[in-house]
Amino acid sequence: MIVPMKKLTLAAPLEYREEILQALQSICAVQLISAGGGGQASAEAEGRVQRLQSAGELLKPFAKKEGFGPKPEATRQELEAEIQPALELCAELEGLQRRIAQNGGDTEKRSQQLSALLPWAEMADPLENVHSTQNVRVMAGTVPAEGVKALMESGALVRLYGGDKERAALVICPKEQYEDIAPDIRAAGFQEKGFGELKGSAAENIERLKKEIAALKAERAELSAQLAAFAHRREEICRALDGAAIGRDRERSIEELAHTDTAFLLTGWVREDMTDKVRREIEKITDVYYLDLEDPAEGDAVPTALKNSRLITPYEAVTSLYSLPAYGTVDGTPLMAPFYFIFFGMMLSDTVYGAVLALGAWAFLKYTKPAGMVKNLAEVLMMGGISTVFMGLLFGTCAGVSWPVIFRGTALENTFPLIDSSADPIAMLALCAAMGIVQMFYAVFIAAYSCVKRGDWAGAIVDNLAWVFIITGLLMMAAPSLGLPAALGTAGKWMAIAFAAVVLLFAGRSKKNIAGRLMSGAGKLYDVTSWLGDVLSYARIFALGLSTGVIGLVLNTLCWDMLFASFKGKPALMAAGFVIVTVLSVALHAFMMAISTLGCFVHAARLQYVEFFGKFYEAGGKAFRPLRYETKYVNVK
Amino acid sequence: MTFFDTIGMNGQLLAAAGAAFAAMFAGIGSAIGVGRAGEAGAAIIAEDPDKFGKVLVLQLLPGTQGIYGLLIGFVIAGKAGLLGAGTAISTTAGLQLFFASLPIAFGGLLSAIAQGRTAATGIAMVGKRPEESGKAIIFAVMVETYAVLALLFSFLLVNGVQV
Repeated sequence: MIVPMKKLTLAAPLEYREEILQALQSICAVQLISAGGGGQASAEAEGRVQRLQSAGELLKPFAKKEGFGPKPEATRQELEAEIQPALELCAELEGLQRRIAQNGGDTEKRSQQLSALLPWAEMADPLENVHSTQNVRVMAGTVPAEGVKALMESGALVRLYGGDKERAALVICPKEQYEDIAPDIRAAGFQEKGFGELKGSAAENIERLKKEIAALKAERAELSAQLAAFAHRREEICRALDGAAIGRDRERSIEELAHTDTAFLLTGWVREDMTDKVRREIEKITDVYYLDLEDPAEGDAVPTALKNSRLITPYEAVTSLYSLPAYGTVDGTPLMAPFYFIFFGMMLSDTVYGAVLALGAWAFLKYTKPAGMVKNLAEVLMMGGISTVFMGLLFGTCAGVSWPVIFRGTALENTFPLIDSSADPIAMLALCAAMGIVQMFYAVFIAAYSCVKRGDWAGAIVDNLAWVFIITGLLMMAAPSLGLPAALGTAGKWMAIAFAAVVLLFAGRSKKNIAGRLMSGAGKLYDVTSWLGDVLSYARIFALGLSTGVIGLVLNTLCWDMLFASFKGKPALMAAGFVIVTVLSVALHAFMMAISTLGCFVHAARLQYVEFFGKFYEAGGKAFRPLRYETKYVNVK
Repeated sequence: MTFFDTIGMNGQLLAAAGAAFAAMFAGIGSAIGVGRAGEAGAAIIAEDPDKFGKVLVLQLLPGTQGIYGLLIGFVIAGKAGLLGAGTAISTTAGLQLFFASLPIAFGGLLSAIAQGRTAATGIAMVGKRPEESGKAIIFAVMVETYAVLALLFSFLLVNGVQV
């Protein structure tokens, strides 16, 4: 169900603002409505969060992989106390980071110089001597290999040095000739590069740069080692990050509140079931306050929070993957959960897969103690696994082995599966269609009920219930072919026609002119095709169930009947073959189970979203996001 | 005896062609689809490796067609006695099995490519709004419906063939 919300208005002395917000944050019951905001304090708080976050990222490559287990617990006070020391640590890390960046820049610069100088290694003259004189122009530079010939023919004196695609070249010519041959030199692709301030021979410089780069590399390794030495303190930073994020959220909320010099005003949404708790928390802090709770007014953007029983709650994850219901409408979660449970089981439909999935999800929940969405999804899978264990027995297989093989020679040999979908696909298809019709009729009844609650009787009958009669009538028409009395078929025909007429005449009741009304009625009647499509859509239950079973069978045939059988008659190889084939078939089954589980999860969800929710559900709810402890690494007690 | 006579007289050959079509075309489709989604995924992971799980789920979705194709191929091969010592089947039955493979062969081929495209776009969406990955999955699953229907129909046809 959707938790009823109240609009909270609270006024209290300014001096208690911080304390009251801390209390509200800890009980996680109020979503504030902003009265503007954004200011210095929250910007500073955000800055702290950013610094801690980058420090955490910086250490990440050196830190141990985060373990597989529940998050540690801490109190808010503990976390907030860790912020200051962690920020000091941050400053050290930032210093190191700057030195690493500096080192990187220096190395890069020297590497570039080095690669530019390498082709000149054979030139013995000191670099500072390579310059133009009063009458002679001397240019050092590079020329592309294919331009060398053109450069030689340009008329200047050219000396070539090393280099592969780009040759180092010294171009010398009398100054008065330069103007004439400059275009040829340029056309050859020659680019003057010079040696800058470098002194000494090229070889000496190369030697020096190599040494400097080696020294920088050593420094870099040293800096990395220093950084790595901080890795064990990453946890402190992560904890402080959580603390800082809690503080930042509170600062932000504080700045969103309206206030005068002496008092502040807080408006927000509070869950109706938490109102007493909110009042008690405030009374603990001060008895000078004004608190008012009112029902949401028309047009308020009320956030949606869901509350369901222990068994249903996990399925909220499935609902919220689609969209939360708009406030004041129907929560589809408890309505679809039983169908989801059954459909998932029928799709996966392999008892062993189901057992493994249920146990795996159970172990995951037990050892990592996840929260929120992850927890819900794991619980949905666990329940799906349980459903699969039974559905596998009724309609499926056991690790790809069919039940008659497992029960061979026992009394149960001919009992399970109840419907063997490979042998009797039509029966299984009929079952799926029947379940689809049941679910869709259920959806229609829910929609009709919502109409009646609003007082819209015409909507309930014409837009919703009429379809139950039309579809039932059409189904009854098939009765004679199943050996039922022909009168039933005739009755069905007339029932379908009568209610089709109702839809034709009244579905367009909002339109004034007759033609328009009939047109839109006829358009509505065309929906019968979408009913047909929707029923067929449930055939996916059969198809996915079949695919799990047959793929399992294929794996078993490949591994055992073919691969293992090929070892028969060679006792020496049999034992090794047995081990190899066992490992192989377990791995293949595990892989197929993972893929099938994913497929079943999404296809079971799709049936809820499109075929079921499509008929009554009003999506578009905004999630309730109360002020709370939003942490990544630590659970706050 | 001409080539066509050989085919015409040999039901098993036709059935083998059907099994090969199912596994091959659906497999090609899945390979293209998964590949395309993977390319999109790599671009997202380069930015934020933490999204790997969400991206992987989306990348896997176009992979099912290949499995469906393999499944039908296997069922056909089993029915035509191509797995181990089989008995010869009639030309009619072979031709029926061949046609039965076509829905999943081509339905699988094209739906996997289309689904790969949807998944790739969905992955790009996860890059921008990771909290909406559920919706990206739903979009991709919408395409898969038609692969499931193709699988279903191929299976019904194979099942109906009298050997």
